[in-house]
Amino acid sequence: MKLKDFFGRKGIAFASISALIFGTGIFASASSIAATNTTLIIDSEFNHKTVDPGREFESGGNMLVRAMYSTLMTFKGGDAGKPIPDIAVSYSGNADSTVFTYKLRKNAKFSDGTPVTSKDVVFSLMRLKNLKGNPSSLMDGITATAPDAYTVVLTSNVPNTAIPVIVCSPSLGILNSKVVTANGGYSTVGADTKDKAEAFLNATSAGSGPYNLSKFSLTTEVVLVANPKYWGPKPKYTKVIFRNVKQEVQRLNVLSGASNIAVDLSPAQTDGMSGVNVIEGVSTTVWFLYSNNNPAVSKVTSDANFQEAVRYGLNYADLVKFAGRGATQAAGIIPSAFQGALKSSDATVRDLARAKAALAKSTYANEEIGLRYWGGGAWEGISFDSFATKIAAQLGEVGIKIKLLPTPVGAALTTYRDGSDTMGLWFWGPDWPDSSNYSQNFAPGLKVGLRAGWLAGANPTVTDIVNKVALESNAAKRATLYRNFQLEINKKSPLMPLLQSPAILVSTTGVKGLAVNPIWKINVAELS
Amino acid sequence: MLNSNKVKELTVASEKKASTVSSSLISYIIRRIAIGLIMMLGITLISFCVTQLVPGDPAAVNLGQSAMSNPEIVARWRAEYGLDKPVPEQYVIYIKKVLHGDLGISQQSQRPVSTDLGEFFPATLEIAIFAILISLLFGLIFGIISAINRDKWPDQLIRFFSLTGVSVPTFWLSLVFFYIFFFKLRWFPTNGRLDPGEDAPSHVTGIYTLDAVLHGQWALAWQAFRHLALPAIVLAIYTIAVLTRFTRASVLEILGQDYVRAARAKGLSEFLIIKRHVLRPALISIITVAGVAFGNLLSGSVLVENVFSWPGLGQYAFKSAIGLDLPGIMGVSIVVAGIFITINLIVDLLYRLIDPNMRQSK
Repeated sequence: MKLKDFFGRKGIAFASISALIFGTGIFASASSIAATNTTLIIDSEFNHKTVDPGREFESGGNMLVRAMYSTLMTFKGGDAGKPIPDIAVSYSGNADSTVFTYKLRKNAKFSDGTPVTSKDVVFSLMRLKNLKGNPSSLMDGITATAPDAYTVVLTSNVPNTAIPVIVCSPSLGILNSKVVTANGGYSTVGADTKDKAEAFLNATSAGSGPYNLSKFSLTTEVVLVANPKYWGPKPKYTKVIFRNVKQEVQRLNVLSGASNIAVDLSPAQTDGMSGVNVIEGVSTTVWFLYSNNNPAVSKVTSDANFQEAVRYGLNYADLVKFAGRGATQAAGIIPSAFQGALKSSDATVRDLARAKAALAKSTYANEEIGLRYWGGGAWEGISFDSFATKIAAQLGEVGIKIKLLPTPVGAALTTYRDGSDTMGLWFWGPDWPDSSNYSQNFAPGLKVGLRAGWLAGANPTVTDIVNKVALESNAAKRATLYRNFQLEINKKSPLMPLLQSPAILVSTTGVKGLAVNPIWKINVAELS
Repeated sequence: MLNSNKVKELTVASEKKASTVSSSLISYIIRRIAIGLIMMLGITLISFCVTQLVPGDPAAVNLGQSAMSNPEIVARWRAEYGLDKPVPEQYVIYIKKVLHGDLGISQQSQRPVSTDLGEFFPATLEIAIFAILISLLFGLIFGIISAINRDKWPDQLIRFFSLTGVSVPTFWLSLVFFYIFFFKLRWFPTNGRLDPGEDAPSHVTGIYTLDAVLHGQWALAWQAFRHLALPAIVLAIYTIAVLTRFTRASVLEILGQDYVRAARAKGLSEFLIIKRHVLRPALISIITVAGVAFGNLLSGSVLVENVFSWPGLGQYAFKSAIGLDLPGIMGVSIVVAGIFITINLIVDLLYRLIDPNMRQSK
């Protein structure tokens, strides 16, 4: 039977029109893709929840807020150790690191043209503290005051050598106090319930940074436009579009020129890419394994011999290879970019014989030991599932049977944080870019220590170092203390630092000056 | 010849019958809506209970490492989302709010869930409508061609493609299509609902193509359509395959009936036989499948949405589930339940339109 017989003329005509419609859609030329010389398109997988500096604390939010809000000090390029002036032109600290005084530049202006004064700085920092939100802990024990219009004093309850780097965090971005107050902003005690400025700040930026917010979305795209009142050097790109794009698609977009920068590609995904710039750096994210030190959780994992067997049973070189190009072994728990980081020669090296001997001395009796991790999760191109499987195989060579416990992130975080897992695989990204963030968390009786069952008093040497470094204001002496702190962890603790993730950015060749910053990934104003 | 009284009697009887059918239809719809509302209440209860059973602390997911170690911050966060109250009380409060049109605040987006759904649902609806139209068109055509050419090469070819369409994973297909049709051939624009930096048309329905047309923004409507086409085609492939197979089976079954043979014996053309005697009865079962398929397109497009950066309901549901965002999960459950209940009602009403026997039945 012929189609014409069956469908008749009307049917054929209908089918033809349909084909025409779809055909037209299909063969239409591609969209006006990507970038002009003044527009920049950045693809990333969105994780920001807000662009209110006082509430944002995600890596994606840092990138956006960095572009819109100046801070007292900042970092240049990929550096996260040496603060340079931003709104403040200089600072000084007292001997015991409890008082820091910042002198502000007098030519800085907000996007509405009003000058930036110490009143705005105090408002912004105290608002962050009193909002009691996610990043408020950055201001723990710190009070901001303004002795005059261009001087700000930060006073800490306890010695805090990290203040000079904490003020570089985008969460400490300086808001236009008059504008924010007029739109429901509060900075005093009670701001956690009274402040209603978030919605306003998610629609309109009120900062003195190089860009203003033009369009905001949590799911599709965020558009920034150059701030005509910016007091610093004019950025090259007058419009920056951040788009929420799946990792696999980012690769094709940047290769085709539909975007200028891909943020989330793994080393493996950049293999074979040509005609683009691949910027490699090392992230400050440190992956670590722990063997719970609390006998109430497990008599086996808390056994020092078992912990030694795990420590020397891991094939670190192989793990680094698995993580891909750009990854490095974490010699200690403090990342290589920070003060007091260990040298690669200090890193633990696999010693299978030592591991087996230690296991033989331990209470381990061939039972399965649970290893909890974020099932299905991935961070900076490293899959938890693959990583945990690799670890289980390596420990299997020692004679330890690992039971993999992939768990949805919510549940995994809960048992990790209540310290009830026998073994865990996690990573740590710094809350602020300073070694103190590690000494204040990875020690007996402190946050991550407790999660690993490392109770107070479990290692007096480590505790002693942590107490000393908190009071030490001399940089060289602090560096020595941080090194000793890590060497002691590597010697005897339930914590095993594994590796630092690679950090990769891929851009089209026209983008210059791109560097991977550990805190905000990209400072779009620095691009040329 | 009928006298005027008889005509009057017949007219009255006809009006009475029409009125009875009409009132029976209205009472049927009311009954179905009432049942639907009860079902939705049950679904909220089940969703709420299941969410509570999932191990994990929403605060742990939503607050950072440092914030979690500050009891004051954690307590404030729990109080903000009502998580400091006993679970049954949380449910009662939630239902009371829902009855007042308040679906709560999403812990992920920190916006009202109703606002989120108002933004995400039209995006999914747009892609699903386009996908179901493509699916119906090609599914019916291919199914009929396949059936009337049973075991011949067109049938074998269509069966091969429909089997492939059912078997290929959508996520993989999305990536392959994106690679071929965007990256290699440049026939379609890249991901997203519009070109980068393009402003959406003023909100009327949230369906960009329609809103742009309503505002006379033809270029924008065309742009939105081109962005829509590739993900919709990918999404439609599975449904085309299902509808093709189902149409083929239904048509084959009816082609074997005595009344079809009688029609052929009467010398009717094949087109008329298919149109009058085959397609109509076959449509009843095809509509059922199409209805379910449309529901699935609306609620199950997460993988396609992910690849094409399509900000739809699937992505929202996925993010809510990962983030243990209870208001978000509940909001999506209510919407999805509403979709299926509504579609089932529409399908049942369509039965009545197509099948006179069902129209007569109460």
